[in-house]
Amino acid sequence: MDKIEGKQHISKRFDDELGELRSFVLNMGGLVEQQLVDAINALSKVDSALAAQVIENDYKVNRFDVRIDERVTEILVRRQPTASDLRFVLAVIKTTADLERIGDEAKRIARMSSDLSDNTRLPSAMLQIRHLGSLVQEMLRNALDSFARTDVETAICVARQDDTVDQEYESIVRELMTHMMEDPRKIPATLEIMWSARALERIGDRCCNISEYLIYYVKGKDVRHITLEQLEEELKR
Amino acid sequence: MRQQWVLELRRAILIEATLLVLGLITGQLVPIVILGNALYLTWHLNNIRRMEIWLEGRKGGKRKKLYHPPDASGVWGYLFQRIYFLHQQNRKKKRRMGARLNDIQLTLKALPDGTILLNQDLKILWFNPVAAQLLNLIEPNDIGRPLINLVRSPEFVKFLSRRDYKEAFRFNSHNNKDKIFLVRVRNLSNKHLLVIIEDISERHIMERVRSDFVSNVSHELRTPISVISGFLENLMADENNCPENWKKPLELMQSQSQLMKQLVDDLIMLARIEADDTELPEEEVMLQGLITEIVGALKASDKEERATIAYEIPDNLSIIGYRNLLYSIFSNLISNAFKYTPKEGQIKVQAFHETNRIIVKVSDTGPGIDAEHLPRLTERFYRVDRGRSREIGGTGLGLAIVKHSLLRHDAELRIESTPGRGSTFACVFPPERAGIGVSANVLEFMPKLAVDGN
Repeated sequence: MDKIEGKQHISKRFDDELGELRSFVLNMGGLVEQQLVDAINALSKVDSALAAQVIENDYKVNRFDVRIDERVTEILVRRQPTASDLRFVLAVIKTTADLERIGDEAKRIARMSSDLSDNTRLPSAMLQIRHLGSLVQEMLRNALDSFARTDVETAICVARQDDTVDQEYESIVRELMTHMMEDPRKIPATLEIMWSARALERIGDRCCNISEYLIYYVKGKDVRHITLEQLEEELKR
Repeated sequence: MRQQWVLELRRAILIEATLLVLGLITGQLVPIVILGNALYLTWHLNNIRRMEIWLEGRKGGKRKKLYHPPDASGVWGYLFQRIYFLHQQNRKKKRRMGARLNDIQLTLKALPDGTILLNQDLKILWFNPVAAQLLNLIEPNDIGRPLINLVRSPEFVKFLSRRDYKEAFRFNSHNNKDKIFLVRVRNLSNKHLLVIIEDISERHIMERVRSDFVSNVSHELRTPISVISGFLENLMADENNCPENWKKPLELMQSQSQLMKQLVDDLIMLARIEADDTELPEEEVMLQGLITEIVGALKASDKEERATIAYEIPDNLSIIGYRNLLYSIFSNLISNAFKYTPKEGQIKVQAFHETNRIIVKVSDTGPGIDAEHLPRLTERFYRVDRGRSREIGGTGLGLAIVKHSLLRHDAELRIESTPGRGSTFACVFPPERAGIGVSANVLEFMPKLAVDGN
């Protein structure tokens, strides 16, 4: 693995600035992680108070997005970074954008829960949603950890988990469709749950993106839009 | 062996003198002096060379241990030995410090709680294996990284950045679900921070299990008891069919089942208070109205003649809290006062401000309580005198309910008592719980001082 972190800058202040930028992004990541946890809990426990909290907190995520962009612009203008530093800053921009989208999806999931009422719950579907939810949570956590540690191995882990998430999603959709066919009265509620599952699957994809940006930063290789096998091949070289 | 260089100076002077004499004798002063000095200089230069080689040649590469010094005479011999000696001392000192550091690290590793040392920028300096396990930290990679990059929960970040760590902080771990951690932070004198993480998941679960158990058992008991009580009432009401010598036993059975019902109700209430039920609404409760209501209710249910009660409660004093809990608190205290004070005695209920806090005192002129019992008084079922308490009645949970209800209001209970003179139970509420004192209900307006006498 390239030793990106070991490089020293002539100006130590620049080093610190980049470190601060990283912490800034991870701060935002922590908030988004919390939003995701809360949104899933709000959905599976049909907790409208928690859902309202998630929806309200979304402005904080957006605020992070704006502030980080401001900081990045500042750095680009003043420091004009090159090589790995430039790749880092680019990775930050993209990661921030994806985190903001994940925040939006979490808000969407929370909204679904306030639309559901108590007697339209489907316990078996909820169980699967919870399971899908914890897989996606783990993906997000790994993606952010890999960013914190500049660790390519963990980033590859995330890419692998995406396949599992996609499979889970498909099986949930199949089951929900059976529910809908069995009892048409349940269709509205079931659709809400289906959108939530879709939102989770999309969060999984975004986590994958974040790990791809990290790999790009570390290895200098753009590994987006290729399959997992090709990715692993590329990185062995 | 001091002043080696002086000895060498003397030697040098001696050599010069000898050379001069030799030169003068043989008549070859200049060549002899030059040659002699050249030899002397060579001797010095040679030793300098040996010293340099010696200092550069380390054993074992990294361990930097010097070889044994070469033999040399005069001041050089001294210098070689001296340097070698200092070097050895240094190594011994390092070994000792290393051993001590090792002890400290082993101690910290063996601590059951997670420990992390942070510098003033909140970057990780060191952590023990327990911390690594609880927070998924990796050694040695994570050393030097900001802790908040790895433990990202926004509440934790806020807590850590606050720099004021008087209170401990509870949070649910993201990494291990269902785990709850208690985090304490201490500022060290060198501006570093010590973070201590305790895994309280088990404790939390056990508290929950215990509380659920009590709650469930109490609920289960409710039904059988009310069945028994109900039928007893029927039997006693049926005057015609009830044999005379059954009346007394039935009355006793009824009073005992009432006691059981009260006990179960108290247990359920206590369990609910402890379970930190945040579903209850908070409101502003006017004290004067509350106390009057309580005393009225107590008197209505009590046929016996009791001690006199006096109030000193301003009509604008109020507490922000849970009405039903406040009702229990004062009801328990006042009914205790009634129970344990003889009918000639006096009970006083006072409420007032004191340095921003609100204090409500219930004092009586009863028999008082011995100092040794005071610390245990609020324990469940604790009795000073079992026999007397059985006669007087009550569930034994009253003060426990008072204490826990006060805790929910961030308030405390202070008990003072003089045996033979009486006791005072004071509830001290913090400033945050003091209401603005405006009574919305006109009917709650009462004269400031009322003495209830018969």
